[in-house]
Amino acid sequence: MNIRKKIAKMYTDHLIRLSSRDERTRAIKRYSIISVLVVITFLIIFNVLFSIITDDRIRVDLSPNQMAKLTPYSKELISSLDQDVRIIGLFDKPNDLSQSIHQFFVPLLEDYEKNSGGKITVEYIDPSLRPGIYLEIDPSGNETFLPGTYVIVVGASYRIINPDDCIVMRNSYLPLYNNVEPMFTGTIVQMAQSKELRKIYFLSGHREASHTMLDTVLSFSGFATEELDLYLKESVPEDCQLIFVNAPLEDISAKEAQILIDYLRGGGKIIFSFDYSTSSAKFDNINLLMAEMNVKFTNSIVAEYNSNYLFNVSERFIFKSSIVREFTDIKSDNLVVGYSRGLEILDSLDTSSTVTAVITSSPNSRLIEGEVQSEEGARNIALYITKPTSNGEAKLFVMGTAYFTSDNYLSEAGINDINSLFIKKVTQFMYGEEQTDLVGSKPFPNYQLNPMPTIREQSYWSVMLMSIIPLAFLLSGMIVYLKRKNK
Amino acid sequence: MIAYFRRDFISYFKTPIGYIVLGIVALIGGFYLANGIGYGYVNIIEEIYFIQNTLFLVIPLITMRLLSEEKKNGTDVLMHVSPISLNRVVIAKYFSALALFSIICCIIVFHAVVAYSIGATITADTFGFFVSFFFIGSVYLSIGILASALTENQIISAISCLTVIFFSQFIPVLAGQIKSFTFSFMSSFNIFGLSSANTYKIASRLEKIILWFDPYSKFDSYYAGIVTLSPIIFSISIIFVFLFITYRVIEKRRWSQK
Repeated sequence: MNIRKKIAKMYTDHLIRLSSRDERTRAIKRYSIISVLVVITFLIIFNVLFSIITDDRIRVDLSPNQMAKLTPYSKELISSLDQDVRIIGLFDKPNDLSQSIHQFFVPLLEDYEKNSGGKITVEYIDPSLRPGIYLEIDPSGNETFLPGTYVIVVGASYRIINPDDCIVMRNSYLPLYNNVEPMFTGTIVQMAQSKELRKIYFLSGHREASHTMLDTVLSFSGFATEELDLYLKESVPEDCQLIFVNAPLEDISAKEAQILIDYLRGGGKIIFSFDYSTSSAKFDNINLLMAEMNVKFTNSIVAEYNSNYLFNVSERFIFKSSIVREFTDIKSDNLVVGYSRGLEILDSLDTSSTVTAVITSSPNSRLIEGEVQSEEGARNIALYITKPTSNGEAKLFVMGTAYFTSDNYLSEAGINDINSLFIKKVTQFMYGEEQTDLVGSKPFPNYQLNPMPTIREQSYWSVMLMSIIPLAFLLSGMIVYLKRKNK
Repeated sequence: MIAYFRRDFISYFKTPIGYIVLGIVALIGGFYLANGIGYGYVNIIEEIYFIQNTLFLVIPLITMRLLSEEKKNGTDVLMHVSPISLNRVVIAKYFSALALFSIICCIIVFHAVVAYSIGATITADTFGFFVSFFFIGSVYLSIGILASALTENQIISAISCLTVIFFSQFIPVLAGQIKSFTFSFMSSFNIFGLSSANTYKIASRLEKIILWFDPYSKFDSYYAGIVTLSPIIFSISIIFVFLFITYRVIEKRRWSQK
């Protein structure tokens, strides 16, 4: 009986001890969970408030050439939009931007949204989840949208921007220029700008070369382009500041020539480029216009005979050329000239005009017309002619080649090619404004080693970085391990 | 506190762990850099990104023994009776791990100096990448120290830390899946009678809420060269939470007499 009582007492004591300990453990557990939850809640609230209050105002742009930040000109333009702009990324916003081309878009688009005063909204919509978005953008259903692209929607109109078109690559893997801002600002401004843009007229109706790429290049400088058909007109429009004649394949009519001559006499400005593909065609009226400014273009073609200027020794009609007269801050002798017509300066009695060679070929080049070759000598590729008139100064810029203006060349070379930079600067100069890039391309940093390490240096660093340094650490570890083991 | 920090930091170099960790990082980074030199193209950002992707292997090695070994050897009693508070002990241990991680960062800096000396371009956004690397590593260390506090087995501690870090990298994928599922589910059953656009908005919001907790996504802007304060504040908060949980785990163990 005693033993039974003793066992019962021991068991009861044990239970009492156990229950008291469990209660304490439970209390500690409860306290731990509650305290952790309180801390987490507090920190979530703190972080949310911090984000809201600071709204990432404390923000430093360390991106190369401030790629993730809008330039003041873009900010100024988008602050005066009078229509709402919707930018739609047709994809799910990437969660790892570092591995995506969209790293050059997402932060910049956020900046557009912030600086537009609510006029621009940016959305990312995955079309696979919301296929209706296509019809929402284009109710006709005719457009083929590609997932992964951006669409800028203003009212009922829209433009598609392919991200790949905004990054200029070399050899399709090395990024050279970032054109995201020029592309978006240019497009938004074209679609939704309230204030009058600086307009450039492109003569049409004579099978001129298409100028979509040139439009893009010019839009970076805030220029809008418009077609000008003079066939039914008596004069150029009042607001015309500059006319582009882009490589016509047909002659202009005598009436059109006269309108343009009158325009020049009134202090007008024309940029003219020629194409060689219709060498046999007659361009009497255009030459009439040219004669007004003391120049003439011929049916001959410039051939380069100095191998230092050739890209390919078997192709003498495509060559490097240099800027003779400094129109711009471009210091390059690598302008690409191809199939250029010979330009002649006329021995006219009219001495009032000033003709300046802007681009010439090397002193070893020749003019070829059929079987006839001229003597060696520097040939004019581009001329700049001015002539005083009663209404100011008439200005004409003539290029014998379409390599600076046509889509055929620019679409291949890219909008950051030296030729497109040159024509942009020439346009700004002719328009009569400061030569500044308003929304320019932003060059990517060049990560290529300069100078390239020698084989010896490469071997040295390979051995040092891949063998000696890691092995030094690992051997030290092994020595420590063996010492401990032997203790 | 400094004594604990010093003891734990020095112990990394009295055992092979510290050397192995540094050797692995030096080898991975060195391989990447030497390869770049061979091709004549060196971008330190890519090396940092490459090393960052291996952190889920490196961090468990650094943290696995910090608290689990104390428990295994029974020296955790010394912590319990120590005159300094337990939270200071946890902080000292965390900082000792952080000090070793800082040496890893120094290896990257050394590589950047080497790259610069041989003509590579080091851009300002490298600094942003470096900061994000440091803070993401710091967050992982706090996860590792908690894993170490939960068990006395170093291997289990390392594996659990590795698992958490590894899966934390899939938060964006998970968020995307939840978004898709929510959208499909709500669209199929026409819940609340919402239009497709509104349903999509709700699914996107849900995804955003989940992504809010992802440290990688927080540092998105850093990868584009934009340095802001909120990701750093967020990282410090997460570190604080994990260290606080670690402290509570040890504190609970101390008083529960288990």
